Amino acid sequence: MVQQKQAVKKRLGKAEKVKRWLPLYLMLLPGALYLIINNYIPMFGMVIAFKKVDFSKGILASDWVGLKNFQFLFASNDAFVITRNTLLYNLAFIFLNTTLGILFAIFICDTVSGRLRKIYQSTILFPFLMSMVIVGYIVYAFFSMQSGIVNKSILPLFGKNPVFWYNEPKYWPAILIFVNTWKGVGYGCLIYISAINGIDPTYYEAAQLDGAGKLKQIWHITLPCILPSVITLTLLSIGKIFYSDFGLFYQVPRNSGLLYSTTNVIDTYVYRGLMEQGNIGMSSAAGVYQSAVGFILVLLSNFVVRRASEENALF
Amino acid sequence: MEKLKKLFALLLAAALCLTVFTGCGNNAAQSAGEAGASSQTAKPAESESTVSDASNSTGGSEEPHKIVMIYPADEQEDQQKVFDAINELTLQELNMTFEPIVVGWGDYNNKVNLMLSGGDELDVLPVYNQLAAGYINAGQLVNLMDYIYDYGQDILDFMGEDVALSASMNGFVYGIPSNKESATKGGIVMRKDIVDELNIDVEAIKTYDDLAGVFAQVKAAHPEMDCISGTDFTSRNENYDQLFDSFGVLLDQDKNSTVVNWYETEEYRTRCLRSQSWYQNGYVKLDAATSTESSTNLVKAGTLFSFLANIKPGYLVQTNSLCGMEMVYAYLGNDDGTESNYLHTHNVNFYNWGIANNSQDKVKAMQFLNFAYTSKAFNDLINWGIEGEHYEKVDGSDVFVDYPEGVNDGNVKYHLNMGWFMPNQYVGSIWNGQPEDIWQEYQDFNDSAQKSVAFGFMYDASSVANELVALNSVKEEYANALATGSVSDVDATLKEFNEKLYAAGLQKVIDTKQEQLDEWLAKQA
Repeated sequence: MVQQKQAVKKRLGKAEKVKRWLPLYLMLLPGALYLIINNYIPMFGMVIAFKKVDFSKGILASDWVGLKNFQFLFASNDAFVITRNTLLYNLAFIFLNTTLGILFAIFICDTVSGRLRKIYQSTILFPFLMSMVIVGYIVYAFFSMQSGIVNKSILPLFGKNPVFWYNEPKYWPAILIFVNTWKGVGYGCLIYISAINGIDPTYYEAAQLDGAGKLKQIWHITLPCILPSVITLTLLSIGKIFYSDFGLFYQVPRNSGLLYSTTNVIDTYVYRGLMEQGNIGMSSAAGVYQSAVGFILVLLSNFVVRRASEENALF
Repeated sequence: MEKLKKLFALLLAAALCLTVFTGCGNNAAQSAGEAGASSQTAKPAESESTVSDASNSTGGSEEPHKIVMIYPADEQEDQQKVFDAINELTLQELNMTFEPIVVGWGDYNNKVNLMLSGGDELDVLPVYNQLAAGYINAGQLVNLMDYIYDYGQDILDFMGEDVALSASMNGFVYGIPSNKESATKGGIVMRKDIVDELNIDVEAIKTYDDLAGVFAQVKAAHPEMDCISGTDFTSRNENYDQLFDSFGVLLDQDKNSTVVNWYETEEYRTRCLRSQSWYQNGYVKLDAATSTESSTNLVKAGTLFSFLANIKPGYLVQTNSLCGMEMVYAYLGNDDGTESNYLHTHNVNFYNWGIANNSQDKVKAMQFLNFAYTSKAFNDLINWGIEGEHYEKVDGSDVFVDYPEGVNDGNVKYHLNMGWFMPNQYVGSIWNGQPEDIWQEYQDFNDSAQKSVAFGFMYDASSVANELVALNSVKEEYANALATGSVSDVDATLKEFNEKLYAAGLQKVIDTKQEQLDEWLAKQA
């Protein structure tokens, strides 16, 4: 992007431009090919969402059914619950992962050094690398109603009665948000650490000479410098705001029906509803709906960012 | 603006690429469609040449035809060896090569979905009945009616036309049932050591209500142990016909054809209340509703006393080895003390062997199925492995087989034992320990069953697909919790459950079922 911008600014002759940037375009080629093959060609599959697929006729020859495949997403009373859950959880995740990620990154960069720093970095990243199925069992080890650590050891310490965790929806927003943050914060944190490491140290030296304290340095140097990374990561998460981590919402509550009012999201709803039917038209419709909304939201939020500070916009 | 223009240029370019590719796709799909059409039109000619066809395939002069068969099973150490032996057999008998694809149980339906949708090479497969309607509507399966009379006569002779063709929807026969004990009869399976220790009279256990006393005894003697586990204590006694998805069922299924909402019936409420009283008395594993561990494993681990199961003749042979200890069982009947076993379309046609539309040569696939349903050698190989290595004949017996010297449950390298699932165990050998007339017993068990009036009926759910998504979701939300007694107020939960079901379109599904059932019944008469 940056190079392209410069190319436009310098207004070189066409042939000269091609010659000059050819190596870069060649470097771009494998990535672009990958993107086209892996991300653009499959988009042809979107037509499936508007068809009643009949394999004996082939996908393209199947009958068009308009928006019929989309109806199931809005037909039931659950439509509101799943949309609300998906949106609110994702907003909470974006907010917490960003703020905590920045906090931890600053903390790790500023206060710890040497070998300890490596240990902290790896420790905080470790849960991110774990499979959700395993995380689900870890949570179960804590909250199992019969043999979990919380019911067996922690609550009796305070003289409290065991809680039926997997039957009571009200506890789950807190549990899910905690699990997601515990698992996901390391990834953002790592990116922010690298952004902070990239800041020119002379800024800090100059600030120190001018008598700025630690907090002032963070506020006036660190935060503005990592703002582009923060915006990029946030925009990317907003694009996925209608998606949800299937493992988190399916494995961690152990698919307990009583918890659906607070754990059902679009992905789990579609999975449960369509598993028995295997209707690929309806599944595609759900995918198209999620990505279309995500696409619009990215465009919108990018528009807002561009209005506020143009150099930070994604495109 | 400049940037936006570039973005649009990029998008346009991508769109162009896309149209080019869709162009290709179009051609491919069309030619595939044409091929399908031409094979359809060519069919009569083929059936005329049946005789020469059959002689060709046994003659072995032409190139062997490859048959791809998928089935779900746990992987066995020596399976390649067994497949090679089957391959040899099919080459000799049919001039076909045998290429199996074995998939784990958990992945099976997904994998089949993908293979059928993706146009992979696939000839024969067991079709899970709940998914059949979807496959049929999407044109992924072959209507066996077009082939079975010409190429599957032996199957019809062996099973009888009515059973062989029972897996059908609107006259579309999508598969052939495997030969097994199809009727269901629910019961409770308990640890024998504890039953003996507490002097529990197994003979006296006849109804679900009798269990509370047993559980109380066990709970008192072994407080550390769960009396019962499982995800559903309400649907084991199938004196009603679920009509596939249990959204709209038949009560008094042997005489009544009015479709009603099961979750609103007094019977269902009674069963939920009973589960709840078990749960509140501490008999049920607290995490039962969300447990993913099988009950046999829990028994093996020593934390569980009993579980509910469908019990068939010879049931304990398998269960004892799964539980690692001796078990006893008692059949559980209706609350008024009567008992029966029940036969519904969805038991007989649980898995049915069908032919994929992807199959290159449907006639050959049908011939292969015909062979699989009649060949003793094939069924023995796939269930028991290679003679002399994985099993051998019991001395002086023609029908019984057992492990060879030095081989047992623990170290055998091939022992699939899935006769209930593979095409036809009735023509194969019988494992030692089972009664000699086991197949007859199975047959009697099926014959003595109370048949649903809707036996043989399958409904086409395509017009209520939207409703079913919502209904499945509502059912998942409440059914397990109610069925394990995990809810605090049964009546309030039932009320909420039913309100949500009707809001999700239950009435429309019931009406659709009723209409199709009436039509089907009229045709039968």
